[in-house]
Amino acid sequence: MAIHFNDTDSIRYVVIDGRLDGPESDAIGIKFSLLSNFQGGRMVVDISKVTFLASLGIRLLVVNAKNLKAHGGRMVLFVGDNESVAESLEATGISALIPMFTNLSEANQASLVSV
Amino acid sequence: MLTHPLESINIEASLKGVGVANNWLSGLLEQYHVPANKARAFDHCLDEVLINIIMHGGPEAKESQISLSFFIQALVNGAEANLTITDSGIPFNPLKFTPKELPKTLDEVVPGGLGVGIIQRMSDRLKYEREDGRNVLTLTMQYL
Repeated sequence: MAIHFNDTDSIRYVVIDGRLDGPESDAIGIKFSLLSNFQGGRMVVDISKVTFLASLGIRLLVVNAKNLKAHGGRMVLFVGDNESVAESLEATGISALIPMFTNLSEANQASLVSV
Repeated sequence: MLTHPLESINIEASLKGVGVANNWLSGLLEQYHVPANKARAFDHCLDEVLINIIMHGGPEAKESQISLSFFIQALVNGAEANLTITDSGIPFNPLKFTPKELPKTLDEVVPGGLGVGIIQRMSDRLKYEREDGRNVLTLTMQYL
């Protein structure tokens, strides 16, 4: 499991890969929280290389999306062609709450929408 | 019907224990050639069940070990893999749990409560009993 980020002028990209199960979600929790805690931030979370998404991982996404929104920001998810992750987010209804994209340029645009 | 020997392990009720359990089950699923889609479902369900025990099972759950046992039974058509998880936590029957309605906005989301729905959806069969003060949950996956 790895989490890293890259800031551009307008968007923070957070890339998570590997298993996002219970133990690993806990392991990256603090870092993800710190990355999501900035005023008016626009964030694209790339989970296209996540091989396993448990409910604790989904919880992590939700908590930080809410936190970012509370700070006037916006989080969107980029899943690429990762069908199992997309299915997990759709089955739990989270994709209706945190916008999810298979196309990165669409994710970028959506992250910049006014809030 | 042919039944493979029972495999079992005890783990501590902690995130470290979850990691041990995940590795143990992954090895068995590979060893017994459980199809990839069912192996993924098992892997996912185990993680959800154990995290639920640790997060919501109360102090009793954390003070004793969680027991896992696994066996495969051959059927006339196909086979079924069974995983039994036994813990000493607060009585909890996932069969009687109704997942909450999905919120309409991010602001309405109260984190939590997703795991049991995932277990219910991914398992082919669930069986719950309360035995000797312990929760005994068996998940079954069937395949050809």
